[in-house]
Amino acid sequence: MPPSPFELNRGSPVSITALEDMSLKATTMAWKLPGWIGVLFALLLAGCSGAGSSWPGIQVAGDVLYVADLDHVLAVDASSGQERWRFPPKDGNAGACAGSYHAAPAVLEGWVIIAAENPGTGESRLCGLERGSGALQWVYPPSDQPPLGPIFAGLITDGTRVFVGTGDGWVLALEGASGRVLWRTRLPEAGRGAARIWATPVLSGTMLIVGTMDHRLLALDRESGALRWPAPFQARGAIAGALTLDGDTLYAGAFDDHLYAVDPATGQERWRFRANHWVWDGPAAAGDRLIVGDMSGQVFALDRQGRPLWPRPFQANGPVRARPLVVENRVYIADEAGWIHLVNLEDGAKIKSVNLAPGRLLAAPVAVADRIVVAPTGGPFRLVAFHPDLTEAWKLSR
Amino acid sequence: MNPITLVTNLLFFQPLVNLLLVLYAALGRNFVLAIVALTVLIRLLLYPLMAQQQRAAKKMQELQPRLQELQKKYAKDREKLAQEQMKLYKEAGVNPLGGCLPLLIQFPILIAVYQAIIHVLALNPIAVIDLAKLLYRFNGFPALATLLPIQSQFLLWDLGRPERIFIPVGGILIPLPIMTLLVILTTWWSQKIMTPPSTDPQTRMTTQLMNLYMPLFFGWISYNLAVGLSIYFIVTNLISVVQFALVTRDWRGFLARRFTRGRGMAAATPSSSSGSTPSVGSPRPRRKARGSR
Repeated sequence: MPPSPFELNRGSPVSITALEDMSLKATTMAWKLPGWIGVLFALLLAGCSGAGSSWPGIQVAGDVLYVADLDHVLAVDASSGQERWRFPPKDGNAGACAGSYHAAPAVLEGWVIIAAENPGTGESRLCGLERGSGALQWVYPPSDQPPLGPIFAGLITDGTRVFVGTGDGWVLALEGASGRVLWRTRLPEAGRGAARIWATPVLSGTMLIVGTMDHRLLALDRESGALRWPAPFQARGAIAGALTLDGDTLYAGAFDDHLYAVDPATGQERWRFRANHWVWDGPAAAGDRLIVGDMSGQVFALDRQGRPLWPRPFQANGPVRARPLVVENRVYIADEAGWIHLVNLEDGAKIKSVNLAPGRLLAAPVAVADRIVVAPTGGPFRLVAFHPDLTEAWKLSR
Repeated sequence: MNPITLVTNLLFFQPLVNLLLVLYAALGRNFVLAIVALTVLIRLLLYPLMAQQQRAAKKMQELQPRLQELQKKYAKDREKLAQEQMKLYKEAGVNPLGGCLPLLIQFPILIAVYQAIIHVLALNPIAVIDLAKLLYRFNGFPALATLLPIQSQFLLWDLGRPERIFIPVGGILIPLPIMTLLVILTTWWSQKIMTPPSTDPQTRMTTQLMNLYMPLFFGWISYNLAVGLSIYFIVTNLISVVQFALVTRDWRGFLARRFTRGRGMAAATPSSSSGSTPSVGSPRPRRKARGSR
């Protein structure tokens, strides 16, 4: 048992007055401490909630990158890295569209549609920007109406309409030019707080297919929002990442360690592949093969029946959340530890790796204007562009 | 990841996250019950520390009148006053620092619990990325991952989102922050019960201010963060109150007495310290006798 302060001070030359002061101060402090600990605790809790909630969302149209990255949405020239515009503008007011930005924008003929999130509550609004200037044109819902739930899934478009899935289980279709709502559907079970949509949906014929955190794939009629499949496809883990539609097959990764191949017309499973850990994004499709990564950092090349093609999986330096990028016979793999790897498509052999830490590479790399562009989460750079051999082309600082 | 974070995760955070998910699975996928069960388990583990702190608080309460007498008696002789205070502390077996250490030890645990709740609720993709690294895998199979996402709906609330309930009053939507109010009420109650009285006016004023703004501050935090955290605060506060009553063996009438502490404090002023009003500072022979059995 540790000695008491009294025993420690026995026979000590310290004056009794000093002891008294110490004792009284300690006593006072002891009783004040719970309050101050509470204050510190509360400040820490508040501080904990201030971190970004998702990674940057990137969309490419022509030679321009549209990047939603935390405090701004930017239009950036892919060849030079020059910023064309940003929203909110440096001297402007974003109004109801102030907040943080994560979801990949949808780019239409004359519009860029973005999602603005209130970082405190997670509530979101959709905002239509003029494509050439980034000027705000419309907001949905307007500021006098309740906002939408959180939006993490990328926004997609068929050219005139924008489709969006929300974190509280709603799917909406809006007219891109005006922000007018064409339909909105709440997914079954959304009331239990489980049918969150984080996965970027895909359009397949007359259907919009969405993946949900409660392990399902559902098909909606893109004209009306009505459910189309007789029953949802059911995985054993959350479907959180972007879906891949290639040819007549839909691919979805899940937190049950599987990549699923599904018939988009019926929602029936065709095959499944067991990875080593969670599969977040769907695969990159390239010719006769699919390239998919998992959260253990392994990357697999599969044939169209889900059979491995490489002698062994490529092992990255951190979890591979994002869909790899395939350009000709090269695979670009971004990992959470901040590395981007260049790998041979044929055999999975590593050609080169570049580290961008402390940035984490959680967003999928994109190819545009002969550049490979990544958007780190954290770190000093918003965007880093490489030549195809992974030599650096340009960087855009935060 | 730096070594300190790694060790903290390995020893505290990771077990908590997995325990919370196991409790969630075991309790019929009810996250509120899982939070309650986790809070109770943690409080049981911390019981020896908490009990020590609360006993120290109780003893300090009981010593207040005698300390006050000493202060009056030796107002002009600080050295003698200190000697007598030391003697009193020693006789009573009170360590003035006894309340600090348990609180300091609890602090990282509180943060870890909060983080565990937030991570398991997986409010956003970054939280899930971090969660992926924390979940135990059994024989290579992601058993716990298949529990995700947590069924976050509880009555009117989504546990993963801040409380936003509105009622229409005359065409205007008025917020109805029920959970926030419960956090404020239970925080105020537990503080009121467990904060020892003081005869020092400055300390007393600090305590009174603390008892006012801390509940409001926690209320503000609760209103702006996930409702799951409010559940944790409420359960923690209630358990603290029950535990205090258990440790101090002071069940009968303690509600009424604590809620009238304001009068008790007034009674502890010099003009009335010897009066008949049973202030909290007054030693109560019945309880002392019970405590000495």
